[in-house]
Amino acid sequence: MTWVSWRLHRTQLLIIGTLAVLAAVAMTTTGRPPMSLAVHDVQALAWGLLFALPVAAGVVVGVTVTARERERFTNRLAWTQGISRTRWLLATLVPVAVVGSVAVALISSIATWWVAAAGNGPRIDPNPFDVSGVVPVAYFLASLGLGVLAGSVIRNEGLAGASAAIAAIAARIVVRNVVRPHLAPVVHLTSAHFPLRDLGPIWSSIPGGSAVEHGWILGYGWVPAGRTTPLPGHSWYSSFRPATGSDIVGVRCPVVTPSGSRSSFSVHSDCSNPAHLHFVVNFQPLSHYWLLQAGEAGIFLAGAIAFVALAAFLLRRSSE
Amino acid sequence: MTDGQLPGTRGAPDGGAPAVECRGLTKHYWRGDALVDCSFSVPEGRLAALVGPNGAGKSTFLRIAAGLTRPTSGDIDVLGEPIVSGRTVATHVGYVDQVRPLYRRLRVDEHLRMAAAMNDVWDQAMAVRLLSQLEVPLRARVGRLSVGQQAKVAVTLCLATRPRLMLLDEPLASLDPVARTMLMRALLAEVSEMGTTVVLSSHVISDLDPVCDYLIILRDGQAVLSEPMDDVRAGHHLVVAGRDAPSPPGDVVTEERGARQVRWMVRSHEPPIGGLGGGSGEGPDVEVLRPSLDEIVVAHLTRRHASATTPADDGGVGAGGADGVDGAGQRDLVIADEGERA
Repeated sequence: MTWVSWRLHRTQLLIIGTLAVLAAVAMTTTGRPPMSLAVHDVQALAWGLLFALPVAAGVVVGVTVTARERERFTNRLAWTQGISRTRWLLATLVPVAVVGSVAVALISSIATWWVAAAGNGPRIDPNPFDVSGVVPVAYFLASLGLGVLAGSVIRNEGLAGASAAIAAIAARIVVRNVVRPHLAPVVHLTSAHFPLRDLGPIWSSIPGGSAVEHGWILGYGWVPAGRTTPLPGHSWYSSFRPATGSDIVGVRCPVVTPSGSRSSFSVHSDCSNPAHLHFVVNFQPLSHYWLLQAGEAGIFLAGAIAFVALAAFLLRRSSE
Repeated sequence: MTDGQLPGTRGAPDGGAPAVECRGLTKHYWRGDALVDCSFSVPEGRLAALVGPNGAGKSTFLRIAAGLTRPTSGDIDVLGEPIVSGRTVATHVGYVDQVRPLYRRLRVDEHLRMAAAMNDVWDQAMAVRLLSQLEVPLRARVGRLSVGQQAKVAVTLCLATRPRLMLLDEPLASLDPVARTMLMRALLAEVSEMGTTVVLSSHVISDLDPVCDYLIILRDGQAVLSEPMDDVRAGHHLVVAGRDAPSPPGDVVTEERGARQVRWMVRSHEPPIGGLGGGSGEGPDVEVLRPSLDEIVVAHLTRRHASATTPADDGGVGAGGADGVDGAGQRDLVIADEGERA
């Protein structure tokens, strides 16, 4: 049966393998990763492949397992042989899941090295995090499950693939922005002064601030003393340089002026009580890397299992 | 699991367990009913023809029997076991779908390897022998084969699992006469050796005439006739008489009134001559003919549910229903045409 699975999905797996090799070559020949996606064409290609490959590969293979069969009626052949529908699903799915996972794991380990080759060691901030460690494998398996599930509901391969891809991308965005920051306890650093020099915060100027530089900063700014987050209804101030009349993180403050040569900012005395404000930076330190990786991989793996189980249930009930 | 479980001889007596038995089978689709309270059975060892116009429920019945489609209500037993769609694994049951689904990118021999992996019983030698006999190249990609060649592959895949029951949905449709004869001959040789029960649907009644020994006529989702072919032949009579002659005794299936004569299709065990006041050949204008299978099938498909039939012109079998209240006559003419073309 393993041969059957390989034979039916050979083409897709070869395409995935080719793309994986392309990404690997792009990474190993360029060395350092860029800070943004468009710095260098080859590096941009590598980033793009690294981000897209797990979802694209999972969805493409996933819909082949179900939607293509149903679209071309080959499930009528498969389901009338001597094995159950569930066994057929697993027999065709599991080998490609294993092969695909191995391919994605290889790529993500190269990506992990690539990211670390930037010189600062591993990185926990979102873009490097997404392409390194174990989460790419989990993304692949969840997308595979979504593809299988979409194909067991929608008979059209293209439509099923598009739906699964949209769902997978949405899941990644939601988990990355909403769930991941809380997968490990957030670390708060507070300071009496704004650690600003020239164009940005100099974290090392506050006690314990060097950990922030290697961490994933979730937010920073002035908040009322006793709080580590903005007041309800307010957000982190988006810039280190507040504009006139702006709303500084939860406290209404009419005028903020730089004192001296922009080497530091202070809250204007017009603020009702400057002593009620302190500077806070919230972040996930690098030491939480594997906690976040494990938590996020767990979420997507659980999703993968749930999607396949639901697909198996639906296929068993489906009436041709 | 082994060949030992398969019946070695063909032709179980009709009193034996039915290979397929359905009771009150109903399948409702949003666009209409495919089967309505359909009940019949096929005794083991028979080669049964399932005929009826498009939409009569033939394919739906076969898919339900194969465990692909879930009936809305009713029961169906296959080889003595109730079928539950999606749960029953079709061991000892072979099915060939109307569209003859195969993996287009796979070669013929790869299909054999796949089927071997998916079935407990697999006769590779038989598959290879059949395909060479049917002149299908083993190394060819299925997508490159003609429709006829694909049908041969599909039927071979089914036969090589040595099923006790084969369900074939229009296996001969869109095949040229040579391929049709070749496939039918090979199929017959194998099933008669294995003692397999076959239920075969077709539009082309003349194809089934010489080979089938059981007939089921489906019409509007119901079985209007289900009996051994010999009984069908012996039990139907075409009575042609002058237009003023009284109706013959027995079950008058159809009545066609022409300008000078009237033709009745009569279903009865005895030739219905006695009731017309004479023996065979009595009177110049009473004649009892032996109808062809085509004529019998078409008669049942054009039968009005009420016994009355409207007058119609001479000739044109089934024309009485063509201006149809229910439209069934229109479809039936298509069948008759196909039969003639074949």
